[in-house]
Amino acid sequence: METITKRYPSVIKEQAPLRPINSPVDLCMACGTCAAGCPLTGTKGFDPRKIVRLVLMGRDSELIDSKLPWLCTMCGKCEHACPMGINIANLIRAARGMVEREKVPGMIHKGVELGLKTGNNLGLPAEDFVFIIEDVGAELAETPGFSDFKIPVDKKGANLLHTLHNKLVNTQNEDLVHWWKIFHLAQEDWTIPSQNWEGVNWGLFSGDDDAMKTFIGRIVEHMEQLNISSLMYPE
Amino acid sequence: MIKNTKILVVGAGISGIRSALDLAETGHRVCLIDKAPAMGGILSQLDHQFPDNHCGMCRMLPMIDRDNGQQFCLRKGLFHENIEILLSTEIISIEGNAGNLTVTISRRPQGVDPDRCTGCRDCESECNIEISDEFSAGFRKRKAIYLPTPHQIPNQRVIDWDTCSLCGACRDACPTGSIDLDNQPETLVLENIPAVIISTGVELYDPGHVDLYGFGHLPNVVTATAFERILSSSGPYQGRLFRPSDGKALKKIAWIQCVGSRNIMIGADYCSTACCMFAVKEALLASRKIGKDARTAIFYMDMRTFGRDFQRYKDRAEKDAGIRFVRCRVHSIEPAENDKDILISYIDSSGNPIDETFDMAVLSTGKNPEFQLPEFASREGVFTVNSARGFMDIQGAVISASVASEKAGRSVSKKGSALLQQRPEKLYFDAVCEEKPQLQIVLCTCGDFLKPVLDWDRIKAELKNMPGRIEIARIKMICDQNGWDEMIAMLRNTTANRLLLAACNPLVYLPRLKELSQETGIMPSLMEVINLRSMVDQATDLAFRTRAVLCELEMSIRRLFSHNPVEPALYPVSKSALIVGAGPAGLTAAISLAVRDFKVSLVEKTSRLGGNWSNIQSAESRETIRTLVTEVENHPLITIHSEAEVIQSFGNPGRFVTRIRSNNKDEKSLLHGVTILATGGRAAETTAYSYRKNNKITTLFELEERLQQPDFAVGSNATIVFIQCVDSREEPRNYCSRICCLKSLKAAITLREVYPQSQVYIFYRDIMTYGNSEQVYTQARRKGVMFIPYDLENKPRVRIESGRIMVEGSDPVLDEPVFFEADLVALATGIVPNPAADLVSIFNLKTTCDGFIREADSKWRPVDTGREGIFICGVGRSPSRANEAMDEGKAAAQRALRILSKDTMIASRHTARVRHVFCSLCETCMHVCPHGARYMDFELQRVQVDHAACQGCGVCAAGCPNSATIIESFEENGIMGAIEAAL
Repeated sequence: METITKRYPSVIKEQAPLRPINSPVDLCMACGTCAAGCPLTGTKGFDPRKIVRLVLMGRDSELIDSKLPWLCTMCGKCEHACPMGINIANLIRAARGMVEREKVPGMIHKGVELGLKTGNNLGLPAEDFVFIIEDVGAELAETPGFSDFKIPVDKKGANLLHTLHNKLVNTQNEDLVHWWKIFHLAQEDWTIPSQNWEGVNWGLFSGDDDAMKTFIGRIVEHMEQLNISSLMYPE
Repeated sequence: MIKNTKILVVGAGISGIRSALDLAETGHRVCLIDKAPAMGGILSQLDHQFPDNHCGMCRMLPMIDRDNGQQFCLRKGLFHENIEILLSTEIISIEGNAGNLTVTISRRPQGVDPDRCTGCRDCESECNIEISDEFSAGFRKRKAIYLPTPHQIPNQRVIDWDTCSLCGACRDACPTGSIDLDNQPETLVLENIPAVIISTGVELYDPGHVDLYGFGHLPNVVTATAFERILSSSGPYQGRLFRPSDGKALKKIAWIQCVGSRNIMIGADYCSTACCMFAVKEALLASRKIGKDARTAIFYMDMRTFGRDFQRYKDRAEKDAGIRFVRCRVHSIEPAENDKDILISYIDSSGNPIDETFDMAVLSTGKNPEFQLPEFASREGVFTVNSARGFMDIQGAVISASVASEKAGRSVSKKGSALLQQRPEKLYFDAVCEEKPQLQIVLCTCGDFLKPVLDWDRIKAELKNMPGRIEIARIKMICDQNGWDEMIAMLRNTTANRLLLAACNPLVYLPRLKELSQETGIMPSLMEVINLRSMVDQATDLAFRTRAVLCELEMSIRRLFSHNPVEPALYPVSKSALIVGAGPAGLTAAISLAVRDFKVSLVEKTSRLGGNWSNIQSAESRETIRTLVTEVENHPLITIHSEAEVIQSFGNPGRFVTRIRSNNKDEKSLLHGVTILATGGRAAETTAYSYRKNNKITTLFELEERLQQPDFAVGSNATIVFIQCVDSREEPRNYCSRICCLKSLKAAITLREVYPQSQVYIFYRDIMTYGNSEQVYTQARRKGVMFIPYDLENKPRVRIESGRIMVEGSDPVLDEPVFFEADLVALATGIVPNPAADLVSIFNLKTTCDGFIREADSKWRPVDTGREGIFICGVGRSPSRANEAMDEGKAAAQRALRILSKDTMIASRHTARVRHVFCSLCETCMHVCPHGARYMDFELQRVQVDHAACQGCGVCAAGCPNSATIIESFEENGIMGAIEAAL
């Protein structure tokens, strides 16, 4: 006896924000535009049209339990051309958010957890962080034209708050100086926070809205406490 | 201020031409304007139309009273005595009230005087501005002074003021001084305009707005219109399929559908209706031209083959020509690795990604969503043709144009202002068959121009020597009023019964021949005009010129002397109509004619008026038809013969006699001028999908009726399955019924609204929501209706298991089976025409293989039949929605008015005649006549020609084994004589 096909209410559909276009997933014509444009179609069964169809049928758990949501690069090529304006990437992100956290692949969720606990995804203590950036700053000061360069940390009333991508602090700190050079030459009044300086928000990728909110809330807090009006968020 | 009583038609594309001709043929005066410098609209760029892949525009030309206009190719121009044409003209404003509008128009000068331009092109050579030519879709360049379309008559150039630098080079180069660089537009205020018809067409979407299709920077991505130019013999490669970017011979071509259509992101929640068939036609033409190496593919979402003959055309394209139909909307078009070809990525039917290179991509661009009608289009007294609201195919445009002319004509006649220009016309001429042929030649000397360039003495001497009585007169300028009056005065005083006018462009004089015959009493069939001027321009030395002129004169003389001076008999028109069938189409036609004061006999087989209206789900439509029924029942000029049928009919346009029999065996004869057949159709029966094996398996029509009943109920969690195209769009019933998709969608929406917990699934092959009905499809999806596509190899299956209805199928998107336990199954069985075999043989018409009554021409004459005076509308002709059937009813009435508005049927100059002494009554002519213009007169035992319907095509003469049939003015003597003279 075959299983009876039925449509179920989809939580993914409910939770996926209708942004930037208020176009419900129901409008899908199964025209194939998304699948034709997706760079991943055919890779390990990935097909944005199928994902939309599964959501339409309310087969959330099949999607959530599969690898499909994590194959997507979130490039948005599919929805860019969708004639019905369906927010396909949002569906995928909503599905990711419904995956049990320990089943989130790779280090994304681990990073989020560390970030929440320590203020950055590397779990780097504040004194180590300050040491690293001051060291890089001192190196820059040896460069001709930058002799008076100094890293402004936690400076109250500065004009611009600057957050950092943890990768720059960890392995590629030679790339930190590019911005700093510009700030220095432009005589910008800027600062870096000593704590909660994380400039990436992996909640975006893991589908963790609460974590995203916390990370953003911390930056807002900095700006209020230090009385800063502009933000430089280079992620 | 210009006082005007002409109906204004805005836009001279095919819709405008149809409206203008409709009104002109019913006696209205018309002013046809267009903002472009040439007529024809988009159709002037398109050479081939399906189903026969020819142009066919000329089939719109008048077929009765043909001599009121010139039977020219409509791509060249439109010439009718009741139509004035103003090009490069736009409307600025419309003021006033319905029936009495004041219209302000602005007319840009064309820059070249058509009377003086000889078409030498010296101006073009001198012009140093070069831009891309719109007509050839940019494949050619043109100058600022140019010919807008290559085939127009007269073929004088116009100046494009937007690019002209006013340098004056063209003016200085012109040998006849015909160029005037005053570019100030002229503003004209037209008063007393009784009605305006807007037939401006729609703007096409600019595919450059689709950022992923590369249009504008990938040279081998072109629009469907541009591809039509590549196919055209007047195109960049004379119709050979080369790629304009690099000259490569085209082999692999892809068509991309729905560019600018069916896309809510650009505000296009509509289908552009015509593009699917347009693409199939182009692919088919291209495949034929390329031959066996052709690899053509059409990328589509739904193949909208909703017309009566479309599905078979598409099937032939697929099976015979090998055109590939790929169901996938294309995401993006990219350059291929060689940077010349293009790369299209798509998914195949199994969802596999495929990258394929093509030589060229053709974009099927639809209507521009930003296009809006001008505000004055919604004014009272202004009638907008539907083809100006949305993109349409030719048939739709032609029908909607006739609907607009019907409305405009009706509004004008209601106002009581008798616009019909009933000029006193001399219909009968003195019989000159007893007189000796006597010819008057009038030679126009074109001022003093022709005097020195011809040997007049020789001309006179040679003409004198010709047999027959010939008089010669020379007049300085026939084209000006003095010369014209002089000629008339002279002709009144002669006893000549034939006239040869040797002047210049015959187009100037042909429209005035009728006037000339009214003034002089010389029969129009015994007049000819020849172009003396062009012969003089072509030949170089005096002797040769004179010889050429003499030769041409002698040819005409030979013809004129051999013409038969007997006019065919005329007969009065019976001012009443017979309409068979009282469904929406027949009722609408009846009202259209009755409000114009013509009597209507309405014959209906059943006891009830209104046809299939009870099936119509929308309360609004039901109300419309109920009102129509009441109106018909109460109209004093409409006589209803219900429960009656036609048993016999004979006669000619304007004069038919039909015998009807009521169900109590009473018989009655009706005399009528026209016949409109609106015989309708009915729901098709089926045995498929376990129909009738369970009362929950119903047809869509039954469901519609049940939905209207107060006790209708399904469980609140019900699963409802619709199956589209039941027994349809496959042999033997291989056509789309046009109404089912929309009906299913509406029923599904209603069910989802009443039972929000229900599950509604629609199995479909292609959703046929053309035009704005696409919005209903969008709404149905929004309401949560699920759509599951299927194809003929993979139809859903319905079976009953211990009282439960099981529907099995497969979902090609997820590539897995689906299995429903249905509480209700609705089968969209489509419609079949009512049996019309008897009627068709009584009226001597033809049917399609599916039993629909065949029209004269599916594109250009959709509501005419092969027999003039007999018209068809509604489902009896082709599946149609109720509103479309009603439109066809109006269009058929408008066509009928051409005959009813005449008092007398007038034969045209060139018609066939039977020389009865040679006739063996073999009836070959009757079988071959494409216009049904022949009949057997049993009393006289003669084959007769219906001179009003005869088009003078000559098929009968070619088919006659005894040469008994001849075409007037093309008699053997005349033709052979002319050939002899030419040699």
